[in-house]
Amino acid sequence: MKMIMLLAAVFLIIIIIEAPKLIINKYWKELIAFLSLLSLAFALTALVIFDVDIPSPLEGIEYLIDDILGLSWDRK
Amino acid sequence: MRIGKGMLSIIICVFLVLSLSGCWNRRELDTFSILMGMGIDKAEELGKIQLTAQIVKPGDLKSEGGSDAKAYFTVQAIGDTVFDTVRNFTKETNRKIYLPHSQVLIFGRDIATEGVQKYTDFFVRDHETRLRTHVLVARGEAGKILDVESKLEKVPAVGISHLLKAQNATSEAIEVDLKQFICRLMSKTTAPIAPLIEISGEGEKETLRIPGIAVFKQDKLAGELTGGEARGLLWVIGEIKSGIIIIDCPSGEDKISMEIIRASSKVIPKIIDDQIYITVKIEEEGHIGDQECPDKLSLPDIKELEQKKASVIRSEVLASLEKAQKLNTDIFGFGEAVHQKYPKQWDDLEKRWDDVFPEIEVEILVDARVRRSGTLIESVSQ
Amino acid sequence: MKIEKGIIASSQLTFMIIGFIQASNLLLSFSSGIVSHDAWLAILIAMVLSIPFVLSYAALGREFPGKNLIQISDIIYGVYLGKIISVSYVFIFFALVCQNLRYFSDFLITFIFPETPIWAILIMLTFISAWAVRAGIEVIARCSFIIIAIASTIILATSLLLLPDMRFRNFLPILDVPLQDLIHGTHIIFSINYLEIVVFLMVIAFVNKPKQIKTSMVGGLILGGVSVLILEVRNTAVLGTVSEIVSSPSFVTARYISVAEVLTRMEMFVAIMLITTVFLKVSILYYAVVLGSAQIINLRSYVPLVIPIGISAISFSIILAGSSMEQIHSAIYTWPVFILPFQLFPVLSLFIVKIRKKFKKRWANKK
Repeated sequence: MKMIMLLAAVFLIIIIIEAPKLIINKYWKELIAFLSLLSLAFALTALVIFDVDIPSPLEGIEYLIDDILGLSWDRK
Repeated sequence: MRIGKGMLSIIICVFLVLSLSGCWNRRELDTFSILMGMGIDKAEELGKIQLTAQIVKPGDLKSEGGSDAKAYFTVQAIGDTVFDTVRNFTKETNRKIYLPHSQVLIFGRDIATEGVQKYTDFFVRDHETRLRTHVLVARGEAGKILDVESKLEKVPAVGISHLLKAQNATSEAIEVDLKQFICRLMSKTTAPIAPLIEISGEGEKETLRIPGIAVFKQDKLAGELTGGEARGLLWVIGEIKSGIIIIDCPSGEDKISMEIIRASSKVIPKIIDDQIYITVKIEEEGHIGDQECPDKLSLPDIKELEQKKASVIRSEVLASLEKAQKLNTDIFGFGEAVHQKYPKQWDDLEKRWDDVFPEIEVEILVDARVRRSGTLIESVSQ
Repeated sequence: MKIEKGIIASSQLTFMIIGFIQASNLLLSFSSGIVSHDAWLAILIAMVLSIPFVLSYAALGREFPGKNLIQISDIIYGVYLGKIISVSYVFIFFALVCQNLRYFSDFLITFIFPETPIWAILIMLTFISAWAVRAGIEVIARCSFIIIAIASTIILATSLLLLPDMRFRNFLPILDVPLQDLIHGTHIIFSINYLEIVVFLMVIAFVNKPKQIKTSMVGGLILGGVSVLILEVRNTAVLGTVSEIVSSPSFVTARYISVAEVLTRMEMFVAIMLITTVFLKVSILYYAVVLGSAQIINLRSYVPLVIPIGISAISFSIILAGSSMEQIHSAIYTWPVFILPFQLFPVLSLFIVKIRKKFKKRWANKK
């Protein structure tokens, strides 16, 4: 819980730094993009902090190249 | 805009302050003990190893003369693996061991005969160790070697490392560092070599001595080369730095000592009808260093001296070759030379190199020269 | 409205490419275990093979002056297909950012800070890169000159100091490895060390003299390639077979320096070189990701995206692989195959453009 609070605080600081500029300049589209990407980043970071077991994307690539396409160099 | 900039600069300042403290596993000089030398022996308990560490005491190192306090101490620890044992040192010393300054790594005799491969991995894998560390083989227990005080250096391990350098003067032993040792260990045919070290004298007069070169078969100690045999190896692998060659005076009575100034060698393999022939070409240049006989040397005499010197070199090389073939250890790297020249035939040869090597015929061509005669033109005569 | 107002000189483009390739000398260990002492040959072959590809990247840039990869895809493949291509490229660049961040952090942890948690290093490096990216391409380009000057000096100095320890017999016999392994090693170096410069398709649009793009890109490739070659020759000549088993031969080789027992422990210089060049490489890739995603969703400024993407990159680098061995295994066996299509695709685009142009001309002539 402590970690998630700290994380939220960090993200809040980032919003405080970035958002006012966008609002003053009326960059609404940019603001939406910023916030949605930031929430994605928040989700990813939370997953990492809570040690959720996420399958490594490299394993996915390995599966694609090796098992589906059969193109891996690892053939011995 | 302005708020953002202010905030940014505050964050930057925070980060800069963080960097001031350095990394957090920083260690101050007074919190770790600096390892200068390490010896590996078999422990009495079965399957365990005993490490002896020589650790420097920085405080006593500084004091100029006067104080009798030793600038080092040795500790021993027992464990299952090298890394385990290194960590076990902390049970006896209050500071963690710091490896990068380690000068020597000494294998005890029993561990060397059993095989050293499994004990070398740590010294290459660990991030603190360096490949410049000298590798030696003790004639007895490695731990005892590290207990012998050096007469000239404050820390014995430094003394050992300087002692190895000093062997250049005779070229009857060789400096081997971890990198060279590992390279030979990883080669399938070339046999690893390392200088030997032993204790000579007793009690107060105890000193360390380098008697020759230890020869390994794969990773197991197979034999020793001493004196001329050892120099024979160095002639072939081109590691001769200096040394004295003793030959008879032309009159046959007394001796002349020749100093080796420079030497080089070439190993040329040849395969004719599936038979391997190796030609070793050695070029040597030297001075007359010491002449016992009062004769005035004529020009033909000098030629004779050169030939005699060449035959001494040849006999040294032959001695080491005989020993190597008897032990079936390719210390000269003939296998690599064949590999480099005949890569196609090598695949087959590599597998049966152990059968091939003892039968190899080696031709030794020596070109020895006498260049100068020291500060004298004629000998001191009555 | 232009999203990036910066302009870079063509010489700065050269420096950026040199630094980009120098950063990848950290990745040499992927191939050195496979091609052993013939690595220099693989590096040379891969460099020669890369030249036509780089030339075609430059030609593609020339066809559309002032347009980068995202805009070019839109023009060639239409809005929908173009968008798909752009998105996949942005993802690839993002993956490259993470790969480089992760591998570099693993290197730092292995050799210098063994007990530091990986996120601490990732945050530091990403923070600095984010700063550079926010400042724009001009700043990155100006950094590149200083970084190259430092890196090249360190490469030359360490190589000279190691001259007495070099054994050139280590290279014999030439072509000792089976052909398949040589091709494999060449492919790794080709895809990972050299052709990651496909990302410069995002950058060359800002070069002030488009005519010089070709020469400066090929020049950068060759100079960078030669410096990698020097390092590889140095490593093999000094370490011999040991260079095949260590995870960072350049660093270990520099550690081996000992001139008269006074000039020792030069490895930190190599670490400095790696840190600065990896910073440059990561910044360029990071910039490409940020600029690309801003262009895909038609933003007026890419600056707001910098921090969210940076944080995602940090998290993603941690998720990327459970251990460094996993990453190395992937880099050796599957990643080069996976990324190859993305490196070949711009050549296809160039073909399409050229053929279309020809047809258009013919059509116009007929009329």
